[in-house]
Amino acid sequence: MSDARENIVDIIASFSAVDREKITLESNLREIEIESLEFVELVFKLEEEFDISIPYNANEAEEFQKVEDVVVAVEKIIEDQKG
Amino acid sequence: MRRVVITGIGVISPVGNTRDDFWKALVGGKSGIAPIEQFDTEKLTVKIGAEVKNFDGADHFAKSQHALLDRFSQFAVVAAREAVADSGIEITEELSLRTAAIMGTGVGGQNTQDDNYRRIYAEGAQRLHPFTIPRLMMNSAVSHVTMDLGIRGPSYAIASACASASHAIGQALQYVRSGAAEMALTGGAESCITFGTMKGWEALRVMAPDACRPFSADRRGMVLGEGSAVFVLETLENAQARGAKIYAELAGSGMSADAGDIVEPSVDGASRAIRGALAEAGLAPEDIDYVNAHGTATQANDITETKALHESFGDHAKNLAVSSTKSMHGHAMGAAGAIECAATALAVRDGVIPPTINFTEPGDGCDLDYTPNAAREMPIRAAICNSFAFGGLNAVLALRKAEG
Repeated sequence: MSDARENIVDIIASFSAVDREKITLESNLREIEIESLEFVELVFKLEEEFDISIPYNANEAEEFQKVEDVVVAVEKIIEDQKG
Repeated sequence: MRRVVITGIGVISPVGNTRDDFWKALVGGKSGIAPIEQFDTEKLTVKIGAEVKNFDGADHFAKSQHALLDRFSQFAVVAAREAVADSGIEITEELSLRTAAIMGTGVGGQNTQDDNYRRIYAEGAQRLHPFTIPRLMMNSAVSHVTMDLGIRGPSYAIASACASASHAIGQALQYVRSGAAEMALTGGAESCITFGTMKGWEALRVMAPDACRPFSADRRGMVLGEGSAVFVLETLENAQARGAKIYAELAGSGMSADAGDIVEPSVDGASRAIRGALAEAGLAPEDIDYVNAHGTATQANDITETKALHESFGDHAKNLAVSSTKSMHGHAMGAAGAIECAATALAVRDGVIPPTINFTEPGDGCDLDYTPNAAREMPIRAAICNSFAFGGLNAVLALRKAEG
């Protein structure tokens, strides 16, 4: 995994109570205890860290199930907004 | 325990600045949700709100009084004046000492707070206007109501976010029921559509960018509103003795805490508040014809509220006419419970159910009759009005049709 990608996963992991070594791209967010409140905090942290705007509405269909879903979305937004 | 009735209603809302205009708009399915006009929304993701329109404080207040009033207090005083005039009551010296004024608000003088803190922190102002604190304090609205109308009994503000006004009305009900007060002015006021507040709400990711569609499959969250509604509460006996017109009996209130999550609602908490209101009112589930729902159009609330209605009403749930008038007037936060209680009282009086507008098709887990898109004429024997707030604080009001 690239450093940049590792960084994103580290940020996601910081909102989970589960050990960092146990968290992979395949980890399911709910299963690593990132529920809706942790998730909006995570979105805020990612926006602050990368100075991006993440279009996320909690009322829409669940597009973010796994860690990888978040990583891929963030990478794309960084490229679109900052690249 | 004495029976308590509503003899006066005043309203300032995103769909009308008088009680009658408000009701006419609701029955006509008119939406007060539009692009925000009070400030530049370029830097906001969500640019819509339910603002009170064509309201100029100068029309209602002399300069010296106006200077003391944040927008939320202006709404409250105008609505309170309308309610008292509507009731026809004469507030004698004696009655004033026995009248309570209890009003809900979520955040109080937000516009004053925003404007003045920006001046000090961002613009380097050396000093703030002397009325900054008296304008922004949460009790400002209710204080000015007591001052404007000469109320001298137990008076204060109540805060419980989206349930503030319902809690206030429920509290005022207890005062009059028990004889602790002879009369009450009660309701709620809120004016929190500021740039900063919108940014705060956006961060929670529960705001709809397009419209408010409670219970619909394509709902995308809530729309912020503002306004005030105020009620005159008296005993049935006093109202009848002076030949007052009665909108409805305020028969009961149920209150509960979820003891759960700070933002996610609980079915159990909501059910307990519903059943509490029915119990105090001496109403059976089968007696209820109409539910004015909390219906914020978030995924979480609409499903949880539907489950709570099923749990509280059992088989009768499918016979209920439910509607969320937030679809039209938005979510007025600390005033919501009052604006919605006004809609409920008027519905009971006229036997007309205001619709849930913007209804497309029912969302998953939303299987009740939500009175989609058009008002319905139907006699209402009794109704409930739900408020389920952030922080798991719930208040439900039960209204019964007035006899005669």
